[in-house]
Amino acid sequence: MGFWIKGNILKKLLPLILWFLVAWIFVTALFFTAYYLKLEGDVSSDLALRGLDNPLKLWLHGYLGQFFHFTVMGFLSWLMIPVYIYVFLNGNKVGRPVQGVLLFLALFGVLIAVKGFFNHRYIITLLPAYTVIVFHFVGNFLSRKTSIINPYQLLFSFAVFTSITVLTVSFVSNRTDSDWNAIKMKYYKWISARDHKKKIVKKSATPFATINLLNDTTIPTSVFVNELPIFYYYTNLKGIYYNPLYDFYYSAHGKVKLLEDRSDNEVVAYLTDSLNCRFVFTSKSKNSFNPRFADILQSRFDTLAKDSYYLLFVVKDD
Amino acid sequence: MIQTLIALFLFLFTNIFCSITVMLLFNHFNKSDYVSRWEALLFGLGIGPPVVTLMLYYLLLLLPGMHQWFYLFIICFTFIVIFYWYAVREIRLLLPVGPRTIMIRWHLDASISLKGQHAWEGWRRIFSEFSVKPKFYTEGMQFNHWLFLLFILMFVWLWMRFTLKYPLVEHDALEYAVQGMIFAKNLNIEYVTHRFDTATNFYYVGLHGFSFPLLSTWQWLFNLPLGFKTDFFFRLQSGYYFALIFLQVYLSARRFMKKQAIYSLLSLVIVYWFYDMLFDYHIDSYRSYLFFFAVLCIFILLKSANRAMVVFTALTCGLAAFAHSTAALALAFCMPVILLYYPGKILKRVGVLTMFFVLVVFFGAGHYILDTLFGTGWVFGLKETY
Repeated sequence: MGFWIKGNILKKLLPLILWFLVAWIFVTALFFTAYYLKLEGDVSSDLALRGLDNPLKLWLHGYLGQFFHFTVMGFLSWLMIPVYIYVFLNGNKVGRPVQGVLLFLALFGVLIAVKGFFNHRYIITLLPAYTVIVFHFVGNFLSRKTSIINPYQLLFSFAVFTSITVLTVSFVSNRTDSDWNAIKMKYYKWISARDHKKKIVKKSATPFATINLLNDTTIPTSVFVNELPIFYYYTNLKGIYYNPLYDFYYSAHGKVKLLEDRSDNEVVAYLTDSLNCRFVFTSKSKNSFNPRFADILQSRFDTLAKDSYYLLFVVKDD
Repeated sequence: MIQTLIALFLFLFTNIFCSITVMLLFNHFNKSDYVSRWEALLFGLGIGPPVVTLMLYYLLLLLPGMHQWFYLFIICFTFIVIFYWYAVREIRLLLPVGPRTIMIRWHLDASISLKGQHAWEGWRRIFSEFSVKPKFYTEGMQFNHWLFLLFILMFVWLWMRFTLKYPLVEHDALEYAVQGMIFAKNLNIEYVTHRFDTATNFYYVGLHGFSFPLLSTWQWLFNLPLGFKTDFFFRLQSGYYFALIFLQVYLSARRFMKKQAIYSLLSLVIVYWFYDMLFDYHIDSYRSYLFFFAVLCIFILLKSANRAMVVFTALTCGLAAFAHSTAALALAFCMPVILLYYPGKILKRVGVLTMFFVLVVFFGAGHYILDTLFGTGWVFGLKETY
């Protein structure tokens, strides 16, 4: 009882309690928002592939991804806001080098938000610098306010807590029939993604059966390659490089449209006669980028070979 | 097996030896004591490969079509000469004295004596320093360091296991690797509107500098004359640079968190995407390392202004830009920051900035000027998002 009566202990603990309370409310509110980000929008655009297919997602996962793309950035980047405010208000205390570097990082953050929002890999560039700065400033601030708990351990526990919350929300929000089903599905996907790598042909010159086949077979014509650079890396064959999302293939003079203004028959005739391609090297995921091209493959081509990831089609003989 | 071992040797030469050489050269000229010699060496353990690729870029651009061995010889010879003439003196200041290092020290002192000092001076130094316990032993290994060491060893074990087992299958890394292979086969870099390889019909869609593709070129310059097909060197890079990011964060945090720096490192690693990226072959770790290194150099430059630091900051900024477009665009912000926050009068700052700009263009950012004027148009010719 004496512990609670002695006011100074409570006084020391108070900032800590407030800190956790604010963090808890903040994080809960944000993750409810994140949950509703799963709403689908225009799935035909390439932004859908990057999880930016509705205006809310575009803003929160795209432009403001540094703060709201929790799976990529965690939660420590939020703590950069008080750091910036502190440095802005106490410029002389922190010194000109710190001001300079923080200004540079802030401008770089704006650049990433405006020009690099479509690729969430870009924002992770800031993560190492943010981590060090947050631990320096916030840790220093907390150590002056409370001496009960180690401030760095507190920050670390905060990072662990938010990361676990991110994972939990990420699992639960991918709903199909029920939440539990969703968790199982997510787990299955995670396992199968690892299996994808395990299925790679080991101790072989090339990693996949279809590529081995391409190397072993004498192919007199070019191969139409559905945006898979692995073809050029592991074979010595000639391939026409196709971008399914924007529907063009690359020639020596730039981009040429394939499907536009051509019927299915004309596309097949163009591939075999003009481009001299009787084979198409593709994958299920690349096919999904262009449903019409995938339909043509299904109806006008035979599957010559397939492995855990890649598909090799050959044009049907009439 | 032999191919993997040769690739491992290439990795040790490029990533460790070349990096150490560059950082020892930096230590030789650096007058600031803000960062200790050991810290500088550890921070810069990844600077070798981008410097090698920069040299390779200039060689392929200015002297195309020579034999593969020519490029290998020029680069290796340059590093060995720099190491022997400058770096060898710096090593003396780093080595702890002990029975295991005495022979190395004897050799180094003898080599210095050949350059004009008396041989007995070297022996005298050895015996005088032998009686002083090095800092490493006197401070003892902190618990923090043990945790970090354990963490790094676990990571290295996982990384080596992964890299030995899995081939290169990632889309982005393959784009870079294929373009690098084409550079090695053509022995030529030229600026063209469409980067189209007529031998294979491959079209390189990448916007970024050639630093990462040239790592693949470096590997294939060895492979092609020897008839090898390994890409182990190229695959080792992603994990290596992740380990260096850990080291950078740990060393930076250690300056103010003392015995608790490990918490900042663990906070970085538990972010899901970061964990997810660890076991992918990708440019991300390479460019993130260079960007963070450039940020640290800008900080040190503003903190302790000196000419060697201007050159080195320009080197890191240029190399970061040469690795990725985002860092190249960031230079537009870096230069005003130097102008505003570099200590001294305005004329001095303008002078430093001019020097910085010229150097940064030479150290890699010039690629984007050439690409915009004579090549693909860089981001100005961009229609799709990559």
